[in-house]
Amino acid sequence: MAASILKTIACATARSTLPKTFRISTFMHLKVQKRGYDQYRMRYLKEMYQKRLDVGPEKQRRRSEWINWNYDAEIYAFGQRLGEEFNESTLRQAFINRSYVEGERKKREELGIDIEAVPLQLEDNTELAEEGFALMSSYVKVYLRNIYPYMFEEGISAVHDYLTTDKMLAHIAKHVGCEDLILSEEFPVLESTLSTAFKAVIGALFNDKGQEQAERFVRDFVITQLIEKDINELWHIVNPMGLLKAMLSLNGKGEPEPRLLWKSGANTIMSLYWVGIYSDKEFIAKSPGETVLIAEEMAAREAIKRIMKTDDSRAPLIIGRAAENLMLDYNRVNISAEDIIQKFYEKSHSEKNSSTS
Amino acid sequence: MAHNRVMQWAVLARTWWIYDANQQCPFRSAYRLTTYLQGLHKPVYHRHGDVGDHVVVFNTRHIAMRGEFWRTYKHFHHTRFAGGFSRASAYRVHEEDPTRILERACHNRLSGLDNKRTLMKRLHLFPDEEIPEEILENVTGQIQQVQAIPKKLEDYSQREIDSFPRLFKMPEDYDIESYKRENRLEPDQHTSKAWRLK
Repeated sequence: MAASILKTIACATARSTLPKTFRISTFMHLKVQKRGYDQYRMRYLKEMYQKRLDVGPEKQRRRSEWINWNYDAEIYAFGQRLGEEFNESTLRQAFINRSYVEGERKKREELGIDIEAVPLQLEDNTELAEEGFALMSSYVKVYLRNIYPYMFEEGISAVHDYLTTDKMLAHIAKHVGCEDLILSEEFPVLESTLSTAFKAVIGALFNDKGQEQAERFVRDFVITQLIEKDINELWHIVNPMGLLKAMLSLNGKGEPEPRLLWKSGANTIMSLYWVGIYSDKEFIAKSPGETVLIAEEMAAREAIKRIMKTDDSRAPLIIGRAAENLMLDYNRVNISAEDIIQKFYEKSHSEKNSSTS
Repeated sequence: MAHNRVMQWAVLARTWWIYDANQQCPFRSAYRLTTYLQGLHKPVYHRHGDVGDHVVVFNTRHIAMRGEFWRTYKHFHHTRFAGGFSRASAYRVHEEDPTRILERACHNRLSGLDNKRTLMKRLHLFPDEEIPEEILENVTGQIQQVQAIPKKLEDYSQREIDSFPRLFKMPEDYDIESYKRENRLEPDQHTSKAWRLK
């Protein structure tokens, strides 16, 4: 009894404390009647639906076109969100695209303002982006070379290219929150614009806080995109067996010899073959496949993965707090697969010549 | 590239197993074979995943039943018409179709599964040792038999039989041949009239 009384009191107070700015017109049609049938509601909703179809979809607008937009606060919040202390003017410059500066200049010309008398104090982010990209590009390569010291230089480049494409950088920039801050003529913002802005943010950090902080930023936001990604799939090896043959020969081992280890369902559509690769009667790697040829090629790839020490049992990437004390060798260059193949051919040619003479 | 694709292929590809049903209990065999048919032996098994293997069984004509089961174990059937019920002893069914007993045993083992018919299609039964070549080429693994094959009296040499220690001597007038007599007059009480041996 007491509980029910309390409940009614609570209801009554809730109703009496409704805000005065409550807009009844937008709310009432959502209210469900309990004791009747609202015969006009369905017609009303249908009408509204038809109107929306006639008018078409809502026009895409910049976030800054709404009234509750404070660019200064957003610029400040951007740095705070990422835990970085930017110099405000540098960060502002990082978001100014070249098209925006040109647009502003054109507007002034149309208005008849002399640009030399009243200079346009705007600088675009092109230079910052170049600086940022140079730093990011070199750090990504240095980091990968040190983490995967046995990976071929071509593989390192492939992973680097994957990380520094416009698409990937635009993806990062979008999710870090650059899209609303960018000042550019075109809308919606292009991938290239987003990527330039992200590079410029790195450049701005490099100018303001130095190399170490900028590299930490790259590690936290760019290299982390490799998580859950198989780096072996990023580099397409055209002739894995040829590369394996060259590697084994230069290490003084015998030629790779593929052997059929196991097969099942040979006459069915789901046939399976396991091929192993041996050198000097020693097992190197094995792999499955739908046919013997596919399995053999895959086994060669598996062998190369083992040589590069990037096989499936590799250690996870060192990122985050563990990477703070990473001792990176900035001058390191890994072995190149092209060099190995060239050496192998020179060696085989000289052997042939010596045997004939 | 694409090495992960073939790894997945290897996980999901179906293996073909072979099983020799010679002198094996059909019910205990069914327990083992349905494990392979459903894929219960795989770490990736899930009820809703289709990961079962193929099983090839030969020598189903030579299965062994314990006790009096050849006579007392029944197969039932109803045509759903009035009076359409019939039943048959296991030995009678076995005469009609030598793969039937093992097939029904596996079928009953899988009762309650939605994909029972799909699984049963992956069970290949052959009454004798002859298996088509294209099926034999698919086979990779062998399933262990459920019981050791017993040695029959015929397999012992006469010398071994004679040297076996005799505990007592039969009386001279003891009839030891009578169990071999064909008792045609006695009807098979356990089989419906329609199915009885003529």
